[in-house]
Amino acid sequence: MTDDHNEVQDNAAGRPVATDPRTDALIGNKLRAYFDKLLEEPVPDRILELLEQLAAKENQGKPGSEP
Amino acid sequence: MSTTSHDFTRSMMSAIPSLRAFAISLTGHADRADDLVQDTIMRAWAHAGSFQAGTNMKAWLFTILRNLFTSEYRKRRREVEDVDGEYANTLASPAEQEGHVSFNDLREALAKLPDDQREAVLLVGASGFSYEEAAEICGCAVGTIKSRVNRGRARLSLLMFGEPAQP
Repeated sequence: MTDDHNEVQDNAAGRPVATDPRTDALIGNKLRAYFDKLLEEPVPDRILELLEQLAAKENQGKPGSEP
Repeated sequence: MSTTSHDFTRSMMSAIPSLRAFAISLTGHADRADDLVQDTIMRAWAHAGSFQAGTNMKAWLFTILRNLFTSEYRKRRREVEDVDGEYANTLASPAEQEGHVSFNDLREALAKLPDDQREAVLLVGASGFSYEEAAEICGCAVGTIKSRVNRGRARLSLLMFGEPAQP
């Protein structure tokens, strides 16, 4: 695990990587917009059908049994 | 009829959109992401007894998905050439410009991050988990997650905006 040793020497020059708060905020906004976009994607039928099968199974007993 | 009927599955259902968004971000492929989500649902169902009602179902599912991805799916790594468009074409809605940096620019930058930094940035910066929750999901120390998020964000900044900003 190198995380504890090189966290401030990550760029090519080996100098500390630093971002200003504005850049951090911009990156944060982009990431959330990206994720929100993916959240809007419709859940595919095969996953909905699987969940429906499991819900029906759960209605008959406990989860954990074979679907 | 018991009031707990359907509760486990219903609770899973509510977490599926964000679980799937995380899977797409990790794998870079909608189809592969759906395989991963499906396997996660099956594993969660099989281990339902180990889930404590009232605790965070979303974090529990993310942990299962992340472990499946780490142990199995990472072997079938994304190929570098896939970064240009194949993934975007598998989405139902087309990628659009988002301000100065396009959706695709961010996706490509994310693809260039080391796996540990990508997952940390996605969990904390995109999925809205706390550092503590993300550490739990990844099975590492909170300080390690903070370090990965910081380095991941700095690298994203470098990839998308050129030089890292001065302190």
